[in-house]
Amino acid sequence: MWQSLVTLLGPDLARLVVGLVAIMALVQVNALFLVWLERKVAGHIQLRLGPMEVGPHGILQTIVDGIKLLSKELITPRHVDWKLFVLAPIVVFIPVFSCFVVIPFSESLQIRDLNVGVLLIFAFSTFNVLAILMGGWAANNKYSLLGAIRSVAQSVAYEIPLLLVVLNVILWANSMQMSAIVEAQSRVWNAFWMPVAAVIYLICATAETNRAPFDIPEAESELVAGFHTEYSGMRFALFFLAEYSNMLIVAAVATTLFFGGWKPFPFLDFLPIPGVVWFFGKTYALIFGVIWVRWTFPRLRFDQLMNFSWKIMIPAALIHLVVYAGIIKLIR
Amino acid sequence: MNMLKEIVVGGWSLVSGMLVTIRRIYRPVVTTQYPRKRLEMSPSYRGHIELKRFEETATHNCVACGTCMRFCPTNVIKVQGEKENAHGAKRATLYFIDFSHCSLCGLCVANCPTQTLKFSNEYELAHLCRWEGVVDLLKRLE
Amino acid sequence: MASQLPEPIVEQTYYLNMGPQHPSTHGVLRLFLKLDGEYIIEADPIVGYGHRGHEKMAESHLYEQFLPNTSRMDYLSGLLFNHGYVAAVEKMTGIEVPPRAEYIRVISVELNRISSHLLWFGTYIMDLGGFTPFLYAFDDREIILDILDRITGSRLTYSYCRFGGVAKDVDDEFVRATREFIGRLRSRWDDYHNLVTKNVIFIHRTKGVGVINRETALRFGCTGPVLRGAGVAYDIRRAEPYSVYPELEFEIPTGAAGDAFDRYMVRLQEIEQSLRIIEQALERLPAGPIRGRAPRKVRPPKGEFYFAVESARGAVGFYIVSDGTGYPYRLKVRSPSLSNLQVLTETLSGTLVADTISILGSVDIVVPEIDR
Repeated sequence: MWQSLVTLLGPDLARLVVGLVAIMALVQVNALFLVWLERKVAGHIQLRLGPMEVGPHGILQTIVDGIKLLSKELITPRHVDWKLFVLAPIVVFIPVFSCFVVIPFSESLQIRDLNVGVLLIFAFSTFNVLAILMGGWAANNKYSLLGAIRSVAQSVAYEIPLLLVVLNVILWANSMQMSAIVEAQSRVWNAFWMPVAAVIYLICATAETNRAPFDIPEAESELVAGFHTEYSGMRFALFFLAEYSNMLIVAAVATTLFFGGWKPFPFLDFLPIPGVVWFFGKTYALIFGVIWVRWTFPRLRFDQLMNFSWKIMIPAALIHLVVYAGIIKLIR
Repeated sequence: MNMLKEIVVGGWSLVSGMLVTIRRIYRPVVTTQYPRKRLEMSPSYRGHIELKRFEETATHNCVACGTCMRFCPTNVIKVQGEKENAHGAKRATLYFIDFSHCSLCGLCVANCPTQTLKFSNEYELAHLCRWEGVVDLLKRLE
Repeated sequence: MASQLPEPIVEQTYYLNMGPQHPSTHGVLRLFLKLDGEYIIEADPIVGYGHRGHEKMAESHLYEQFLPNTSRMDYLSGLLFNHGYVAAVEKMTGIEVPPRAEYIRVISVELNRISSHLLWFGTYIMDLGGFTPFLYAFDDREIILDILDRITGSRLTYSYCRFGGVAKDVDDEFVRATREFIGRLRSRWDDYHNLVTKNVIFIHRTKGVGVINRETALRFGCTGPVLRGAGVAYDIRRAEPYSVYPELEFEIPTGAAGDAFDRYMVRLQEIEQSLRIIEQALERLPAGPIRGRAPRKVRPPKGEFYFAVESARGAVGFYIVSDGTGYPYRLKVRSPSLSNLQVLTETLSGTLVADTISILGSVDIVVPEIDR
């Protein structure tokens, strides 16, 4: 079967097609699992149980919710910009599939090892912002637009420290290729000797995915719901699932850049655990951290959020870059 | 320097907040899964009123005086009675309450001259039709 | 304050309705806002969506029959309103209350105050976006509700006080459960302070927000934590003492700046003071009857009478005009939330819309009490 595909398409393209199919399956299963995980963790933090009825311990809850959302009517209000309205939920899913192409799940499980892998990921993740803006604008509703604009401002402001911090990692690994970055962490993970960078990256990542203390566009933005107020049924489900998929991407990228990718703990590499398991374990541990943060803290007000980014995060990231550039120069 | 101290103190406050939540995750939950496990009400819980069954007579002691009917702020109670013979006391033949208007004030229970009313422990009192809120207390006593 | 903003261009202002249905206004409050971009120029609270006519109902009910209504006006401090009403009628008629009943009343009333403050704490943080302290506060509040359920029979709308005393006696189980609860709540302070009070996000959202200073609070007739947060140590339990409060030792917590954080701290400290009061009252609980002699149908003498108690939100006053029969001629309730709400017209102008929720939550209004 694999051979026939290879002879049909050529080895590269065959690998891409199989990889994309696998990624689609992964994204769906991940969304199912993550929604359940979030509800369970939220429940246990709040001294209650979370979903328990459907399936053992509520595992099938997400499937049932998905069926419910599928069966809802797709309401299109009259005065919306119809093309953008329909396109926005689709566009929000584009970066998901593209970014997964370069992530190294293990030593050999990487669909395409581009030598500008990091650049690709961060280039595609800005599509998220575009989709939100499209969604807010198309809804023709001044509150949706307000929510979308805030989300765009927040995303732009938090991308800058994100990229500055990732520059450190690239300087250390001396390349933008994802597998090279993982290789450069074979002795010690980046998070251990650049802890501030890891912290800044995680904070900016939660801001990029509109979660946790930075969820002004998503939760009740004081007045009405955010940019996705006019969406119903499957379109809303697409926004919702895209958020969880973004969380997975961001955590996977954090694992690769800072936490050693598929490499085991430096002193635990005698255990016969395959690299994929390490990778997913670390990724889901980071996602658990993001969920934990969401259910602990209240929300920041919007101007405080922007102040935090421009006045604290960016100077910190710049100083960090300069200092670590010096340290790396000294080491090499 | 001041700003650095603020950042450090602020960051530590966030971390200690997270420690509080994480410690609660592995504690047992405090909720009861209601339809699967029923709750025990305390003995003095105020459900709707019901007639008490006395040991001596093995039945209620209501003399249909109408005190409860007059004291009720929302006219929930309807009592009617008749005398069996000219020298005895009246006995209730009809005792209906419309629980949908009852405010559980307890005036009927407190002012009954024969102490024949008490609160029941019924807490599953939701109904689909307005007339299901009417309870026949004499029938309930049997 | 409004005077610091530049004059808005008229076309830029728009009107916004934070309508009666909103997740963060506690009850059916409508705030009619005139906005210039993000800043509020005028805020107009419109009440009346929950008017049920309690005061009119009082005119056609006997004094005893009105007792359940008092609980439903402010459902979070049901016992406090009960106590105020019953004490007002008792003072008018001259009914004596035995000391055991007074102590039981004080204990249950302070428990009710704690449960009201815990609920406020939970919902305030939930409005700000943190969803978990709500459930922690409710976990503690469940215990109070269970304790009160055991003696009164109800969890939220109690009709426990009777003319001359209370309806049912307390037993040793109550005393033991209350003592255990006091210990448990005291051990929770660390958790609450670590999770909320010291949290830098929370501090940024409440410090300096919604400053109600001394003059404004006194001018609008605010009472309760709003006034105490502004620095005025006025508490009806000390200013016009009633029941057994003169014999109990407790302090009145005040704040300095009058912002939302100060009001928050005042309420948390009030919970601690209530715990002290309960401890002292439990130790001094005398034996004896729980109901004094009271006529079946209470007929206060002709005249007017006003009596105030301190509820969780401020001073609750009952103004009764009696014409000698068993039915009141006029019963007016002075609700603290109404006076506290009126401060918002001045406080909200000049602030950001995003702060409205924080300010509204920190003033702690219960709209059914405003509308009655």
